Amino acid sequence: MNSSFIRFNNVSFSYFGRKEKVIKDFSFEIPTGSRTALLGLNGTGKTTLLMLLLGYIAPIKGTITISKYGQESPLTEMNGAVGYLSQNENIPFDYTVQEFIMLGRAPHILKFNIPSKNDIMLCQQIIESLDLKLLASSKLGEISGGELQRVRIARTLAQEPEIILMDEPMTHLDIKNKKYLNELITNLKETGKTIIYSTHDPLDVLNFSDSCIIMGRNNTYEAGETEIIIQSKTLSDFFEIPITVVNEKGNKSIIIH
Amino acid sequence: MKKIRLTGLIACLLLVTLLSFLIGRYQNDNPFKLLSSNNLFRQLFLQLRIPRVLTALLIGSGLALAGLVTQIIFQNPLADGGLLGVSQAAGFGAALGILVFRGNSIWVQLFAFGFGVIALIISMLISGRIRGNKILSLILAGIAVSAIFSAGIGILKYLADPVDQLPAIVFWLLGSLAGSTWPVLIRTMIIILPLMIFFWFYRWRLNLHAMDKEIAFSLGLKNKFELWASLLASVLLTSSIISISGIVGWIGLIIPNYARMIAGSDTSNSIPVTLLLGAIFTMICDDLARALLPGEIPLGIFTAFLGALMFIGLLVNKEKIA
Repeated sequence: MNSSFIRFNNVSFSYFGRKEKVIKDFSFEIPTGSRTALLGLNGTGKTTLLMLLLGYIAPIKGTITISKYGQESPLTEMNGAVGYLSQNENIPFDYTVQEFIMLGRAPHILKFNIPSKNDIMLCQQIIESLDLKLLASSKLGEISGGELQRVRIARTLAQEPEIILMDEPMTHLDIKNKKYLNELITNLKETGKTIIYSTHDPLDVLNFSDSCIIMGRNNTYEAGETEIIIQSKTLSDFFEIPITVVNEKGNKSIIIH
Repeated sequence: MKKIRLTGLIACLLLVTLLSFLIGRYQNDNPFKLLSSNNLFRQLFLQLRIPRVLTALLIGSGLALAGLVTQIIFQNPLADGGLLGVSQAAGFGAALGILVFRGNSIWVQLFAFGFGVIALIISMLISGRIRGNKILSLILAGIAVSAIFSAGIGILKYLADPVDQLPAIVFWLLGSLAGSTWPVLIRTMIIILPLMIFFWFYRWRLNLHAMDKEIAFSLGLKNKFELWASLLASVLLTSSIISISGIVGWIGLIIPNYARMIAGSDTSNSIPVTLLLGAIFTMICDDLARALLPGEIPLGIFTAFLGALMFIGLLVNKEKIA
């Protein structure tokens, strides 16, 4: 059993000036080095949860900590170690693939410095490992949506983060790119990274996650190992429609009635 | 490639600077006479033309840089340094200075600079009270502040003495480097050079400001102070330049876009090119302003005319803006 966790301790959050809480009294643990999925309908707070993990917003109550070998410290103290891939990204200037990926090195470069030879080499390696070499000097405006997604992942990897947050990374991807991304997530997990991604497709969760958090309306949630959580009844309750989970000899599928 | 490009532009800058030293309305204007020539020409050359050309060089690169920084921070390639009401407010300050202090140049400059900074502060205070996207609310507040100060300029023009004050105000609002002397150049340098040096060393990290705020946060831009410091530095750059040159438009909008076309979007490449192009463009405009007619033509007219032509060129090649 893994002994490292990201721990939510009675975490609540509401946006400034609003009474209703987006997240209320969440307490659960996410094992590090796992693929964890956040599953839920639109508007149930998946992105908010990711923002809390990123440290971009702070809980109004409770704490988010990381416990390593019994030592507990606030997650926000991990400088530059949390990478974030948003669902959509506004890119107003036409960077080349290479320049854009290099921006991922920012947490490792001093404020008044430019990238060093080592930074350039590391980016080259990432470009090669994600099969982007042919695109390296293309402009972002010239590449396809699936390629752009890969470039953004490459930038996140250039950060060398321990934890990678992805907000609905599968949305807008065709099945080929989706398969590629799922394999990549699994590979990253094998190198010891913690990947936390949101999705609204239960099948992705069933096939490509070790643990998951289902979020429903009115601040309801369930968290735990995917195999245990993803059951017909739970899904039907949270998605408010009848759903059957089929798991025969490792062949998993979801039937929506 | 990068080196060739920069070397070419630097050579171009030197050439334009040299030519600018030689261009002027002084009769029998032959540079080779400089060493042996009469007192008047030497005076003219050393006390007027050299500081003026250097001022054009400095304010051109400064305005272009401020434009680039503003475009990055506001994630908008069509923004410029005067966005937060700074230009109009500086214009108001200068007009007030002309009215109250009878055109004493130090006071006009101080007023222009002071009001530029005041406009920034008002824009920031207003935007602090608007909910939602901070960057958008700053732009909206800037539009309102801009309009208030341009109304103020209208009032001052109406009150001004039509014989001497009104023409001075109008001339100032159109922008000119006619008053550039060594003391003015040195005063400007004291403010502009440190800001330029700051952005020079900050040139790579500036890229992060162009990213969405959550992404920039994840990349280590966690401190609000860094955002405000960069914005403040670019506004100080703009208002200190406007305080000596008057409202010289279009440089901050056009030059960074052309710089990106030449050097790409990475600010560590586009900043050097922006500085060089801004200086070259402004010196050429000022040469025309000085030499085309026997009398001085306001610089802002040329930057607007050539800038607008270049802008059309940019729109026609639309895919290159974004």
